[in-house]
Amino acid sequence: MSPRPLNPRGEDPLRELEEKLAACGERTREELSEVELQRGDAHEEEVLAGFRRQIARAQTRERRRSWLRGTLAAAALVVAVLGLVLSTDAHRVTSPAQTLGPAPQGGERVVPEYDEFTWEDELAPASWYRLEFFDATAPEGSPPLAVIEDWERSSWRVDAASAARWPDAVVLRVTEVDPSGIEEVVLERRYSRSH
Amino acid sequence: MLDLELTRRVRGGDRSAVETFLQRLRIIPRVLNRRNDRLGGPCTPSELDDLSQEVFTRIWSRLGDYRGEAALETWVYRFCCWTLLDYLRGRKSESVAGEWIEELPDRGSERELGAALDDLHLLAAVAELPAEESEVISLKQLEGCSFEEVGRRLSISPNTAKTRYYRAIERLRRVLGPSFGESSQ
Repeated sequence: MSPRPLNPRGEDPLRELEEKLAACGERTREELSEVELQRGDAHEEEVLAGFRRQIARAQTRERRRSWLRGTLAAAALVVAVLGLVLSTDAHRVTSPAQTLGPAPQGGERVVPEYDEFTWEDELAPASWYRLEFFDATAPEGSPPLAVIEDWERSSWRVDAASAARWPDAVVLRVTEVDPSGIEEVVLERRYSRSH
Repeated sequence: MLDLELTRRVRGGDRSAVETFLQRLRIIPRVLNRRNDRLGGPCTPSELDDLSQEVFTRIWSRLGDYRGEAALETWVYRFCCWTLLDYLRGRKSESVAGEWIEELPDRGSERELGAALDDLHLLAAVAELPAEESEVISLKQLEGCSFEEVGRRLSISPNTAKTRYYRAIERLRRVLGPSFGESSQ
């Protein structure tokens, strides 16, 4: 076996690397034992709270994926049953619109006055959301009436002064904001004022 | 509880395991702070906070890769170095490092900074090696185990541990390139 080539300083580069690794390992062990003994502070609690939020978001995404898988399986079953019914001509659907007409995601609520908007049980808890309110009659692409960033609760209360200026129909759009930058609209609901 | 068992329970959603795991991850901001100090403080406190979250994201997404041979803290430590180096690379770290060196008052500090940069490069490169090779280097050099101990912890013979270790060293040398280590000479 031929000897390993030496570097310009006449040293064995692998031996040199091993020495550096050993020195680095010693410093690392020393540093680790020091940081493990370090006393925690309030700032660290904030960092840990951030980790907890990340875990909650990851679990929310996983639950949503499971829900979606379940929904898709159920939808596939419904389609299969519908196909069977149609093929046997037992119940003919005369107008596709009667069964397949689009429904707005999140539906519609009629309220006496804009006050507190709630969507409890409809969204996964412990996620971060952006809330946007739009004039329901404004053309697509119009700027929102209000935007609330980094919201984590499942309700939001509008102040009376702003509510008085809002039109009689508004659309609330809730977007889940992932820390990696991925955004997903999870609820879009129309609210109509009945007065 | 063994570290591997802990991470398995965390992945299974066990709440008390998650809390224990999070307490162990307190070292993330501490390690980043220390590393940043040793490099002359290139990152602001707010950047370090963001980096802590980024380290956690990486750890969470790779939790299934953790095999329990190295202590959890050693494994986490490598992620801290890897993430910090990635960030500094993104900020054109080489020129920034040059600027710090010019600002330092004496050669002793310069050597210290060079060693800190070398450590960061080394640990980041070890973290990026294939898991089998990363483990053997971590056990031998970062945890200070003998080949007998490495073999016992990886359930392989000491000779296999030795062969795997030298293969990993060769790869590490190639990954780091011939100019590695010149800043601390």
